Amino acid sequence: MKTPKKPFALLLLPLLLSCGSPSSPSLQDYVSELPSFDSSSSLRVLQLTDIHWNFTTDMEKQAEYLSAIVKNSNPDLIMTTGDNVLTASKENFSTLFDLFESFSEMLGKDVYYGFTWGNHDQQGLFDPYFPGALASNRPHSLYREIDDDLYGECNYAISLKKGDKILWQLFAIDSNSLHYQFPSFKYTYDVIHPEQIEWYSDEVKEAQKNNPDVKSLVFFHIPLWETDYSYRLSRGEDSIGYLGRYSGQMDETPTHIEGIGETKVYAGYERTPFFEVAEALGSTKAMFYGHDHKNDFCAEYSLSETSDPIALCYGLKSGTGLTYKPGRIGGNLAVIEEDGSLSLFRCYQDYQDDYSSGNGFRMEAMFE
Amino acid sequence: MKPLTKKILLLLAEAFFYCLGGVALFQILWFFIQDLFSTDHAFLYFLPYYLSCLLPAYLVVILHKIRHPNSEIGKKRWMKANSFALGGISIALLALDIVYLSNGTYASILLHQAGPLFPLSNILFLVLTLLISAALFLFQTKRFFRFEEGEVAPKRRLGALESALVAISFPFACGFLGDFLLFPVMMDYTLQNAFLTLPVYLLMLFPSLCLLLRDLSSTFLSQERRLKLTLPALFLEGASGLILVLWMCIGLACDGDFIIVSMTAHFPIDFMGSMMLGPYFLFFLGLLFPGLATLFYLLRPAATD
Repeated sequence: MKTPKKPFALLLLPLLLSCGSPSSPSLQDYVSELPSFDSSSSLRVLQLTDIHWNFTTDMEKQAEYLSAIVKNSNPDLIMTTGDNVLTASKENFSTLFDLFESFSEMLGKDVYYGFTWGNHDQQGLFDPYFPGALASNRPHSLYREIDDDLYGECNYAISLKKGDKILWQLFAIDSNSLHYQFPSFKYTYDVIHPEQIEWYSDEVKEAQKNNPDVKSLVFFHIPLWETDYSYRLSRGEDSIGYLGRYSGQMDETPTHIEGIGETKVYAGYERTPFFEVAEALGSTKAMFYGHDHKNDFCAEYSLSETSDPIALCYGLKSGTGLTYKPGRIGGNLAVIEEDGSLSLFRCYQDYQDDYSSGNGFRMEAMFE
Repeated sequence: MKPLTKKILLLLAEAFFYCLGGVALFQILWFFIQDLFSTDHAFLYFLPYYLSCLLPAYLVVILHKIRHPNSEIGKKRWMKANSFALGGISIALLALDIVYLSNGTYASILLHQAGPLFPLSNILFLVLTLLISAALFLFQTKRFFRFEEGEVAPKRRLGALESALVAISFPFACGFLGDFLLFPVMMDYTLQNAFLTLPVYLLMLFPSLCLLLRDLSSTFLSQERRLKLTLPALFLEGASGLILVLWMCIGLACDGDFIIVSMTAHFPIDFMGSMMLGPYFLFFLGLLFPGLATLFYLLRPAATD
């Protein structure tokens, strides 16, 4: 949680004193543990993104749509990568969270889920911390919000274990919202802040003490600059780094970002060392994000020729809220194995009136 | 009924619809912006709702003119014409709601869209505005609305320009008041940025307070007393506006992200378009209202001094 700047903190001293100060949580406080690999050698993780429910949403129809994706992709765990709502009511959020809770009954197994926030999740008739408070109080929700000084709200990890051994970690990281520099008229998108990168690094190192070969997936909302670099490489343009397999399209209207130039990636206002740190740690195999509804490009990418590549993947937009590309909506599925291998799929689900036939769903491997 | 009681009752009615209109304007701005950016537009689907949300603001205009008529005949004509207009709009929107319900566009009387009671709430509201239009028509001849001496404000130099500027600023002042009135629902209760958000909230309130002050003085004060109080009132208005604008500027310069952290929901256009529009508009209104009031004071006819 962000704290006020010092001069104003002084003026607010009596208030701050009466509220108490944030605690100093341990690394373990950010982690939920699941014995997922005790009963199975693989786990299916579904990424849903940019659901964008709002006041005008026909929640019954949209719930049927999300249920169809979940039913057809049969996940064990669901992670959303932000912008779950936009100009929303409390009812939008509670109905959405109830829906996620109902997936366990629908699939006849415990389906856990976690949320990350995007730049629109606080836009609604509720206080900015309502979504986090609501998401924390659901039986199958793994969302955690710690009273700490770490920037952002949704920074937490999920350890997937076999016995006492951590095989995989799933990280939810808050890529925050917008960034403003007075007296500009424009907002830029925010980034994952240095202390969040440090926290991620510490969590990985802690897990590596338990299992040096631990693997991880990272979920956040706003794409990194490296997404643009990888896309440029896929088009044969001058860029940074090394490209492996890739697929998908980039159909967003180009924008201009200082330091990148013209790009279809609506990334943060500066390049951060997040990708570089992840590559050096060697744990993360894929990063999933959303934000740009009409992009679904996914690429294996590395900054160093000798490093293992990390898959940088846009999620398929989940539903028809706000803007979308017809025929290219649904979710991404990551199948993670006990041996540390990873398979990625796109789960396309067309928006239709009736999902009972199962038509309108197709699953394609991300990389041939 | 005593003239003073009548004045107060009409003022309260106008204030009520002004507040309701503000919240409604802010809400349709939310909906409309979201709809505008969407691949699947729902403009026609929500047309009865969008237009109904404009009706409280229309009622403010009707009531304001009833309180400040040009002449006896003008007041009667205004009430009659607007009772027809309001009634006509209400019937048309009610008909559209009913058509949507009967042809299945609205699958149910309770859709849980645009509020838990929509479209029932919309239909009930339109029945209310229809009743108000009928009341306007009936009351135009009644004693309560009868024209009284002293209701007409004396003609002022640049009076038409002043009225036009007030009319132009009215939707912005009203919309920002609606934004302000929603603060109990949307404010950041951690109070981490309370000192920085306070001037923003006060600036949302400021244009409406200026309009209220102007209205109260013309409704309840004699010409002589009003002239006596104008200068201190202008000073107070100007100083308040300037202090609030400076306070907010300093806040933004010290921590540009406080609005993003604590006030996202209050500025829907800004956060849809990644543009810092709302706060700059508040700066503008915070300086414009006292500035214009001072200008019109300086340009007043010398004889009225």
